[in-house]
Amino acid sequence: MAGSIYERIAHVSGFPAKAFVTCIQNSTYHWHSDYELMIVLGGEVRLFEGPEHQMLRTGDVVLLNSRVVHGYRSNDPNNLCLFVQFSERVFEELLDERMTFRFYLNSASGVYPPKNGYDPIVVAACKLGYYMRQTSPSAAYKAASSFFGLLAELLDNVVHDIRRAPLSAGKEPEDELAARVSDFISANCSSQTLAEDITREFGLNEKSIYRCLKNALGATQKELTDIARIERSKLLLRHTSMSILDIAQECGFISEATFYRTFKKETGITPKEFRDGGLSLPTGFEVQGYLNYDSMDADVRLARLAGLA
Amino acid sequence: MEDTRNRRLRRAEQIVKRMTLEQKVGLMSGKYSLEKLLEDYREGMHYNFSPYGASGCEELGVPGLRFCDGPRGVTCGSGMSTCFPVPAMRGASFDEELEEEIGRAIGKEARAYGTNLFGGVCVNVPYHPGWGRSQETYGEDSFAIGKLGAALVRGVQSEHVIACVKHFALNSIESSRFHVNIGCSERTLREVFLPHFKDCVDAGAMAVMTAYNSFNGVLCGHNRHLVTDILKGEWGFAGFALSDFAFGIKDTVEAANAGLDLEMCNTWHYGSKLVQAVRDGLVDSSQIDDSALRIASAAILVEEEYNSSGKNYTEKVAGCREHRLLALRSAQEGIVLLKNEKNTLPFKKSARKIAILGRLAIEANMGDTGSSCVFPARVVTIFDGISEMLPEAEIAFYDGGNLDHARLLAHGSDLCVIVAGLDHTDEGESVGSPDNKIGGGDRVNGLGLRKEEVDLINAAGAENPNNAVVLIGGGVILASDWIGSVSSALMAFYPGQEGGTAITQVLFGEINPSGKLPFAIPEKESDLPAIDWYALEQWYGYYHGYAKLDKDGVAPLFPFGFGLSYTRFSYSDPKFFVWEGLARAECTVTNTGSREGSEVVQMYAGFKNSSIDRPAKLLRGFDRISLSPGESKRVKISCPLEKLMHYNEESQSFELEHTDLQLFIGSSCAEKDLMSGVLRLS
Repeated sequence: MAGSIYERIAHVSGFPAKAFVTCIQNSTYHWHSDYELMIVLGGEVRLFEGPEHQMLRTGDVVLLNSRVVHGYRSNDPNNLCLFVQFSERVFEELLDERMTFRFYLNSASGVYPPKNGYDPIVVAACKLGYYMRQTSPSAAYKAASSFFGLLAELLDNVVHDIRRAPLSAGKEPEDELAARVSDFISANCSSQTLAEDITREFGLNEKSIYRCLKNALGATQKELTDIARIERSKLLLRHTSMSILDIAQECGFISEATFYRTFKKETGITPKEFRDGGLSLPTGFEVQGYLNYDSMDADVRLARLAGLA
Repeated sequence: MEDTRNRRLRRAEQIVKRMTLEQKVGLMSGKYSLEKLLEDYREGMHYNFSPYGASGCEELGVPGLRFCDGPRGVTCGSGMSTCFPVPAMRGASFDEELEEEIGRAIGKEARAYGTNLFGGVCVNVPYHPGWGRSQETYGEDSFAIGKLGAALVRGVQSEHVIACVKHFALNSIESSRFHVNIGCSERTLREVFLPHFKDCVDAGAMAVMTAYNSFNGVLCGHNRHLVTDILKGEWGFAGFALSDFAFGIKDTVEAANAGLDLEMCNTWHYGSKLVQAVRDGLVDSSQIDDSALRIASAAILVEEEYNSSGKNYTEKVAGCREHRLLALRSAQEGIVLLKNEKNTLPFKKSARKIAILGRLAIEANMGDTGSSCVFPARVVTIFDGISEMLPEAEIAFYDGGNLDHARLLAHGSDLCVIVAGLDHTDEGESVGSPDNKIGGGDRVNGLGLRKEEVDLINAAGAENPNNAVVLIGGGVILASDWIGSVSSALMAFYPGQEGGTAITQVLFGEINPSGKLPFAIPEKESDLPAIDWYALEQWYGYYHGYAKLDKDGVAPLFPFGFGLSYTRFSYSDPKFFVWEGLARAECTVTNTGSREGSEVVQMYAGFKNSSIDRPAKLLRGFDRISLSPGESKRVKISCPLEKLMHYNEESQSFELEHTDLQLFIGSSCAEKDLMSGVLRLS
C-alpha cells in the first residue's frame, strides 16, 4: 500500500498530461512535482493537504500545486474521482526553471472563486478525462484541445501567483520530511517499537518528529499509525483467511479490543462486518490507493459533467 | 583636422556642381518603398529591422544615407541592440556627460548595423504630459531638454553618425498628429518650443526632422518660417531637413520651397515630380542646389570620417557588456525617490519572504512598441532583479487581481514591493498590441493609475507597512489617490533592459537614489493646461508644466526637480552675480547624512520683477555632484545671459531686460528648497 512518497507520474508519451478516473480508498501523504487537478465525479472523499483536511463531494474540484504534500481517504465505496496530472513543464514558455505557478482552486473551501465560476474548468477537465478514455482517431486531439483549454482557463480565470524558491533550500522542507515520516509509518506500522524506529531512522528526537508532523500534516504519530494499521488490516481482512486476532497482532495492535475500537472509529464498521462485505472493496490497484471502478459509470459521469451527454 | 573637414566640404561642393538636376533630386528622397515596408511586416520583421536607405549618388561618389531610429537605443535588428532607459528617465538623471556617453554607444551600434543617420534625438516639449511619446523626450523643461539633447547629438556624431533632431516643431499630440494644426504666439514658439532645438543645432546636429502636425496653418514639412527662416536662416543650420515618414509632406512644390531637403522614407512627392516642378519654374533650381549640397556634405563628411577613423564597428558592439553597464548606470541615476517615510527604504537584504505585487513586475517593459522600440537580447524585470540579488529569499509574485490574495501575500511577507504604472498599451506612438495598433497613443484616459492598481496599492499598503511602490511609465503619473497608503515610492520610468537590476539596487540600498523629476507632478489633472487630444486645432499657451503651476499659484504634489536620497544634503553660502556675460550662482553643498550620495543642484532664474508677463522661475542650469558623508563642495552654475532673454514680438528679436532678476539655487524648484538672490542687470 505504501508507495514512494515522491510519486513519479509517467505521462503518456507525447502528451503533457495524464488523466484517469479512479475510486479512492486511501492514498497516504505524498508529493510529486506535477500539478494534480481532482474532480469528484461521485461520492465523497476527504482531502488532506498539509495540516488542512476537508470533505470533497460530488462536483467539487480542487487543484493541488506541485510539491504539495497531500493525501486522500474515503470510506465511501462508491466514490469516483477524475485526476488530471500535468508537469510544471507545460508552463516552461512562461517561466524559468526556478519559478512555478501556484494556483488557488478549491470549490469545497471556496477560496477565491474563479472569475467565470468553476464550470468551465470542470467541463474542460471532464472532456479531457472523457476523450482520454476514447479510442477513436480524433480522441487524442480532442483530449489535447481540452487540456490546453483547461490550462488557458487556469491562467485566465483562476487566481494564481508565481513562486520562486530559495536557491539553496538548506534543510529539507518540513512538509517533505513529514511525508517521508508518514511513509515510513505506513511501511513499518506493524512494528511494536515504531516510535524508536522513527527517531533512529530520521535522526530526530520524538519532540521534533511530533512538531514536524503536527505543523505539516496536522496529525500526530499515533493518528498516522492508526490509519496505516487499519489500511493494512483491511487488505489482510479482504485477501487472507487470517484470524482477526492474528491480523490485529500482525498490524501491531496490542490487543484485539484495541483493534476493534480503532477500526470502528476509522471506518464506522467492525472488522468482521468489513470482512463480510460491509464495505464493498474492489480488487486490484491502479495507482497507490486508487481503486478500480465501474468503467461505464465513469464515462457516463464524465460525459454529463463535460456537457457531452 | 579642420582642413580635412573643409577639403571634404569643398569636394561635396564640386560634386554637386557636376550633378544633373535628376541626380541632385535623386539625393533628396528616401528609397524604401511602402510596398517594401509592408512586405517586411508580412514577413514578420518589425519597423526598421533593416536600415532604411535614402539619397546617395553612386556614380559621383555621394554615399547613401541609411536611417535607423531611436531614442532608447538603435531600433534595427532583433535581440542585439542595447536598450537604454527612455529619455524621460535620462532627463531625470540630469547628467549631460552620461547622455553624451549614451550617444557614443548609440553611435557605435548604429554603425554596427551599417547606418549613418540616427533619427532618435527627440526634443519636443510636451505641452501636456499626457502626450503618448513624452517618454521619448527629456521631461517638460526646454532648458534641460536642450542640454541633454545637445549631449546626445555630440555623442552620436562623435561616432560619425548624423544625429537627426525631431520633431520640428510643436509635435506633442499623437492622436491627431497627422491632422492637427498647432497654434501659438511667436513669443511662445521662440521661448518655449524652439530653444532646445537651437541648442541641438548649436551642438552641431546635421539633420532635423520636421513634424507631422501643422503650425499656424502650415504643415511643418511645408513650413518655410520654421525650416528656412528660423532653422537655416537665423540659426545658421548647415545640415539638412528631412520629413517625417510618408505623411510629413503632402505637396512637391510647397515642401521644396519651404526648404525641406529630404523626403523620407521613400520617393512620393519628390523624384520626377520635383524635377518637373523645377522645369515648370515652380521651384527655383537654387533651392535644389542648396538641398543637394546640404545632404551631400553631411553624407560625405560622416562616411569619410568614419572610413578614415580606423573604426570598424561590427555587430559585436551591439548590446556589448560595456553598453549594458551604461544602460544600468543610466537607470541607477534616473530613479527618483518620491517618498520614504520613516526611512522604510532601503530594505534590508536579510528579508526572507518577499511579496512582489502588480502585473508590471514581470513584464519586460521598456516602453512604447512604436518607432522607438528597441530589441535587446534580454531584459531584467523587477522580479528578475530581486530574485538575482536575493537568491536565498522566498519570493511570491502576484499580479494583484484578487485583493484578498494580495493582502494575504503582503501580510505574510517581510517586505512588499508593489509595481504599478504603464506600458505600451497605455501610452506611446499608438496604443494597442503590436499587431493591432488602434489610434494615437496619448493618455486620453487621464494621468492616473488604473483603478485596479490604485486599489491594489491601497489594500496591500495597509497590510504591510514595510512597502515600496515602484512606478513605471514615461512621464507624469498622478499619485494623490494612493500615495498616502504607502511608506515609500519611487519613479522608475521605463528603465531599459537593465532596469530590474537598478530598481533592486535602489530598493535594497546598493545604490543611493539621485534622480530628480524632470517634470512636476500635479495634485490633479485640472492643474495642467487644457488639451484636446483629438483636436484639429489646438492652441499652445505660453505656460505649461511647473511654470504654469507657479503662475496659477498651485502647489504640485511633487515639484519639478524633486527627488529624495538616502543621505541628506545641506545648502549654504549662496552667491549670485554676473561675470563675463554669464549669470552665475554658487553655493556650498554638504552631505550631512551617513552615506555617499549624488545630488543634482539646480539654478533657476526668476522674473517676478519683469515689466512683462514672465514665469516666476525657469531652470537655467544644473550640476550633478557626488559627496561622501561629511564632505562639502562649492558648486558653481552659470548660464549665458542670452538664456535670460525674452522674445519681443514687435522687434522680432530676443531682448535682455535691464532690471533686477532673481536667481535661485537649490535642490528642487519648490521655494522651500531654494536659496535666492538678486541679479542686477540694470
